[in-house]
Amino acid sequence: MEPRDRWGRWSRRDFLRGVAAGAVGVALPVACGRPSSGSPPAAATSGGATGFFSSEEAAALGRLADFVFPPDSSGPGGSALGTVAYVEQLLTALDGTAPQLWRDGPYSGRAPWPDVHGQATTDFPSDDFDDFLPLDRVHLAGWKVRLLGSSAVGGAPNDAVAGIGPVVGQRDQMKQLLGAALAAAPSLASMDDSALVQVWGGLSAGERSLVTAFTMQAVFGAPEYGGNVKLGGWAQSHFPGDQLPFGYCQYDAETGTLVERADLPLTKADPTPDPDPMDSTTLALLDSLAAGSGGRKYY
Amino acid sequence: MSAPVIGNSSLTRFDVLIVGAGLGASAAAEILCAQGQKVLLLEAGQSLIDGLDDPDPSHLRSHFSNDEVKLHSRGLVYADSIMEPRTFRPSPADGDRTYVGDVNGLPKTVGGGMLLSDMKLIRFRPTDFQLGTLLGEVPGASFADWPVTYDELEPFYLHAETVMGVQGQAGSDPTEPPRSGPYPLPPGLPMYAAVLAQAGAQKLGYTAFPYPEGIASRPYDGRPACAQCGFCSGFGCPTNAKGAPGVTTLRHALLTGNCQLWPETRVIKLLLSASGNEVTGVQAIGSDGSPLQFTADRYILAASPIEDVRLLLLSDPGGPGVGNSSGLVGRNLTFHLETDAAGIFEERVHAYRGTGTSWALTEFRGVPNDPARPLGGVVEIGGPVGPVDETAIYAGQLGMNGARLKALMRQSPLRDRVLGLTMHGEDAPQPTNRVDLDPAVRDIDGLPVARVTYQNHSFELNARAFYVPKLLDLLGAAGAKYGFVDPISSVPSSRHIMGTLRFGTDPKKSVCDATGLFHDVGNLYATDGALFPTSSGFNPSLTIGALAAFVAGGMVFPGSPQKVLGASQPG
Ligand SMILES: Cc1cc2nc3c(=O)[nH]c(=O)nc-3n(C[C@H](O)[C@H](O)[C@H](O)COP(=O)(O)OP(=O)(O)OC[C@H]3O[C@@H](n4cnc5c(N)ncnc54)[C@H](O)[C@@H]3O)c2cc1C
Repeated sequence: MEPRDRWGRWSRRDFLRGVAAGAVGVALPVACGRPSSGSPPAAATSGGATGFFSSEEAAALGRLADFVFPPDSSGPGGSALGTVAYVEQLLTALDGTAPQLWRDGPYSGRAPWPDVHGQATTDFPSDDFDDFLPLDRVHLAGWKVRLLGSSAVGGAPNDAVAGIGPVVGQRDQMKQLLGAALAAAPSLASMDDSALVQVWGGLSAGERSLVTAFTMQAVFGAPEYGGNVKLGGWAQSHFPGDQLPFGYCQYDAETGTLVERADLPLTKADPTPDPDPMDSTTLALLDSLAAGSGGRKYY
Repeated sequence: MSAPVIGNSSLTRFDVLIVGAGLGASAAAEILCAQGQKVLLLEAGQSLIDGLDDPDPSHLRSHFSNDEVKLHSRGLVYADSIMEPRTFRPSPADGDRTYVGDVNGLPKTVGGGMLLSDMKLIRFRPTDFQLGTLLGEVPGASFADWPVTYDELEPFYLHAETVMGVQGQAGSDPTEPPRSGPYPLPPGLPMYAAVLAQAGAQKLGYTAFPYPEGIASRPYDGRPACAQCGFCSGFGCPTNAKGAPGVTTLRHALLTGNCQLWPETRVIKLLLSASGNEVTGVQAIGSDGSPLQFTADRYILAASPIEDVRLLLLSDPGGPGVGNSSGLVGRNLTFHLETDAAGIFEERVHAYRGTGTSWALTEFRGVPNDPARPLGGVVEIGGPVGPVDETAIYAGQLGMNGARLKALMRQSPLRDRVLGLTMHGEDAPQPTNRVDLDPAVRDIDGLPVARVTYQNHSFELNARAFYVPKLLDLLGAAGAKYGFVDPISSVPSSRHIMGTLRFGTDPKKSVCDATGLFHDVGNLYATDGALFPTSSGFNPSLTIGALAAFVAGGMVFPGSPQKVLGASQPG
């Protein structure tokens, strides 16, 4: 039974997850896993920051991260955006005295406090994301198994149940998949995309999914987790990131009214032109999804 | 190290012990404590808001944040899917189970699931309490009347709205039931995507109206107005603008001095008298794994419907389960049949900004027995998605990577251009849809986990089929370029969980009586959605809060629960 939490827990309203899942058999206009045209090899990566990965493994993971999310003229790829650091931090999160899995809150310090009129000030909260939250007994045990595997912790509750079985830890999964990929292609780190397609195809679906999920979390998660370097992931997706305490709407205590932002309005269209309109390939993808899932194209 | 006790730690004797500290638990505790009852709450999850028992609201500190990794990728506050899984199967014919992991999981934390909700708090309608009579016999289903009417519950609805600070506009909902007072707060600003949808609804003759939400649109009860940060449904509130139970009902209870709360303390067994007619205590496991025992005069189950049943079954190993002379414990489990429709616009409608849902439509709720208007449900209009979740659609589901994935993330058809509609359709109760214990799968403490056996009835599937084209019409009228409807998920994932301990007047046809007391156990009550005989077509939590206060009121003033109202209100 494939664990459903590889891609994380979705919010209650997960639009299109099912449409997309149901449409995997639909003829997509873009072949999945097709190499990006002319994406350069990853920048040379030294060993991971925590030393969990050897320099070869780190370079290989960086290269795979660039395969998933390549550098191009719009910005850096998965490697430069910190995927290796993200994955290493996750896989070694329980090595220290306190678990380093869940960053604290409420604020990252990236957005300012408002004044009484709901306007931005130059005063910023401190970065609470610098700290970590403790894990309770159950979560700690769960994460030990998830990261280290059943065998390293004396077994998980359902190792003997048919269809479940022992858990292979994500540390071992990553080491094994990088080891196998390097054995198949020792020069993986310097391969171009067209050569890498075969290595990628040689990984199991679960391994590809793990690398892709980690890369995406690294690129688009909060930078305190080691990825999204210089907010480059958010910038490329035109996502403003966490915005509290300022947010998108403030209360003017003097007038008793709600004030929205001029730059990123809440109730109306953006004041600036669309930075990346949908191109013909995206529209063709949506056409095929609509046709294959009983959806509609209105115009 | 043990997690610190919250509230009045000097209390040693309790009138009422409550299992859980979510909405059903805390709404009852608030009423009981205001009436001088000494209440002990035992909650399995961690506490992630500091200062809950501090009278100065400026000392409230949330450990939630706008952080997709922590909440969605790494499962903060949810039951751990390896250590505390649930199992699922569509029917007994499918074997012991077809799935292990997260099945209808609600957050496990002080304050419960509502901490991660976007607090849509809307009332059920008078007919929702009478569907047994109105619909008559529906083959395979077990519709039943509620033993309370809308009119009896109405003052408790107003109380719950006041305590949680619901924003709304009386008179704007064309099917609004009678109300005895205004909403405590006016609506906040709507999201752009919802503004477009409202215009589309108008073209088609529907009325979209501001969704009643327990989110402060103005400063309220010492909490700030919402900054509409967009990380709402699926996220805890960093500013505490959400009137979630932790900072409202629970906090009010703690501030009375009559309440003590033990976080990270999981109840594993109800201890019974020799006759089996009284609960004499509970066994629990503490934050450090040590065994604990607690007693009180009366007990309330408010661990949410699935865990309530698990506890009743664990407490009677080899037997039918505590309180189960009817054979109905665990049965008639209902969710809502959630129909998610998404419109993709050519322009960016930036639904990632805002409270998540701004407007509602009630025209698709339908009318009992009217074939031209089958019983669907309220439609939510909004739909934020964060970028990590967005990648999971392109990369996880469509298998995209490379330049195409990057282009999709830049162009963002499924985040920045999405308008979401969600219809919460009435789910016909069926005795075969049930919770029991899995025969083999265990949790971290070696205890059997809950198993959900569930299949949809044609009742809700037909209603869905009826309304899907109308949802798509609405997306087109709003200006979308594409419209999609998600297929029904193969493993139930609804967070609206009801039934399993339905209340009623006949002990053969219900588990609890009209006051929430178990027919079979003289000092055991339920105060959560488990009591619901039917699901309605509206978000359940306002009704859970109102019903919990009603039950608690009856515990203090038998036969006159409304006497408790007014004693506990926000300052
Ligand atoms: C993302 C999301 C969005 C939602 N949005 C809405 C919305 O807008 N409107 C709406 O009406 N509803 C919404 N819901 C549903 C809402 O959260 C539930 O209806 C509500 O939480 C039910 O309250 P409850 O008290 O019955 O259960 P819960 O909130 O689940 O509380 C039960 C508590 O009991 C604890 N517990 C369980 N077992 C034990 C045990 N053995 N010992 C001790 N403690 C135990 C749990 O940890 C939990 O904290 C949403 C849910 C989610 C997850």
